[in-house]
Amino acid sequence: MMENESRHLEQIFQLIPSGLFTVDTAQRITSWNRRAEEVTGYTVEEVIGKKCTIFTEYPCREYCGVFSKKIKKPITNKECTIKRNDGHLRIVLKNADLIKDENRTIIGAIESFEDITERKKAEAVLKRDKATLEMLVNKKTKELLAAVEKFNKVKRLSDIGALTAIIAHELRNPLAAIRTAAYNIKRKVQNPSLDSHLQNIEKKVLEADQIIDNVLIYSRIKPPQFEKAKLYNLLDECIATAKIRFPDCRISIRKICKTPKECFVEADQLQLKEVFSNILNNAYESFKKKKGGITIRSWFDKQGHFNISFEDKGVGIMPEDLKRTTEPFFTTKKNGVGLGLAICDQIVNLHNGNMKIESKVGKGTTVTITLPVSR
Amino acid sequence: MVSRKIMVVDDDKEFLEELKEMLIFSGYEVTGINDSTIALKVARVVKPDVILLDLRMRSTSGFEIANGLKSLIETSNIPVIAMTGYYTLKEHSWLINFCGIKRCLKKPFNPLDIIAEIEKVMETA
Repeated sequence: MMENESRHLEQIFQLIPSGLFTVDTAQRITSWNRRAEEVTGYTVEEVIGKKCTIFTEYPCREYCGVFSKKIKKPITNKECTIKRNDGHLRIVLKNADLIKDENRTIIGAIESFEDITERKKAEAVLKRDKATLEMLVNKKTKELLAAVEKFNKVKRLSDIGALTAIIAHELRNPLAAIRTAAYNIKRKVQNPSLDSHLQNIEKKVLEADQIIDNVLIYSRIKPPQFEKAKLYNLLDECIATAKIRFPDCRISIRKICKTPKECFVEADQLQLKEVFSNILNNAYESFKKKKGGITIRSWFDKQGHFNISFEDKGVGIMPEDLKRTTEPFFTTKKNGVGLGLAICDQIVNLHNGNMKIESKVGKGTTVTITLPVSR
Repeated sequence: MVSRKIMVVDDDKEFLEELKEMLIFSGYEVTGINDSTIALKVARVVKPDVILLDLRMRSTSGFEIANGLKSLIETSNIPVIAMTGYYTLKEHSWLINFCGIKRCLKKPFNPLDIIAEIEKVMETA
């Protein structure tokens, strides 16, 4: 019976999936199961009779709590490090208790341990992943907040745009009344001494109307409606309009075109007309003495893009103003709103093109527009 | 020569006054309507030769009036010239055509232009 029981116990001892060993009161190993062999690398022959410090490391080597009266038994779930016979360190989780005989005398101790090295590694990775994840979430949150901020700004701008459009339109009604009133005064009074004043009213009404047009165009720039645009026809129309606009200017326009007359570019005709007109207006206004010459050149560059440049020999732009020319509402003109080149820049950008402005004070200005031939 | 009857509908009182004055000075017989809600009724009574119509008004809009004029037998043939500082011809051409508006002038227009327009629509009417 006794023999049977002890054989059973031996079987359990060997099969239990934890390292299990016993020591005597001098901490010499008295038994050692298979799992203990696997975890430590030490065979039963190598350890029996040896002190358990042969494989223990921190903190068990420095201080073994099993035989201390101060520490409550059994000891459970205590983490410590062991050193395998190949020198590798493993982290184990151990339970330990005293072994007493029938007289309650301490005759040794039993300890079981499990290798938790891999689990610890996994936990560390998890911990690091958690930190990484948190960092990523934080980063994404920041990006999202920035996007919301940007969206709000755009919305504010579009609200301002809508409001601007309403105000601009509403201003036309009083302007219409002023213009008609001036006309009525002129006809009724027939007094030449008033003529210059009435002419000034008329002139200023038209200026105000032009400002409204520009503000509206700027607040309303939409994605271009692409079509095959014959740029030469557009350009000729714009030149004709400019000549009418500046009747007292004696400006000669020279065209040097290296692109075929019938060539076209996929573009929004109305928008490009706006661009050409604005640049021509600026060129006309750059001549202080109201006479001079404008040279328009066109060519295809190496990338096959359409290039058109407008060169005037006018007053030029100060270097510090040059980089601000496309800023909305930036102007050096007495009667300008500062939207002309801002509109041009926006439109050219919407066409995936590029606008370059080069200028020297007293020498003149060249505006070059590069447009892809097709979208 | 019988003077032509022009009806002007605009909710801007001062503009209406000035335009009326200008048209009378140019030899037209003018009825000015400041309250757009009565425009249709007045048009049926007065039967003008041409109607000058502001499009954006606080109560009944010019589009509504033009559409109303089109649907009444006694007013359907009166040519309508729209005056607007608000709607663009390009963007609203379908609406303008739909309401039977013949011409459209952008405020602030040259007073001489409106006379030219009036004469033009009456020639073709």
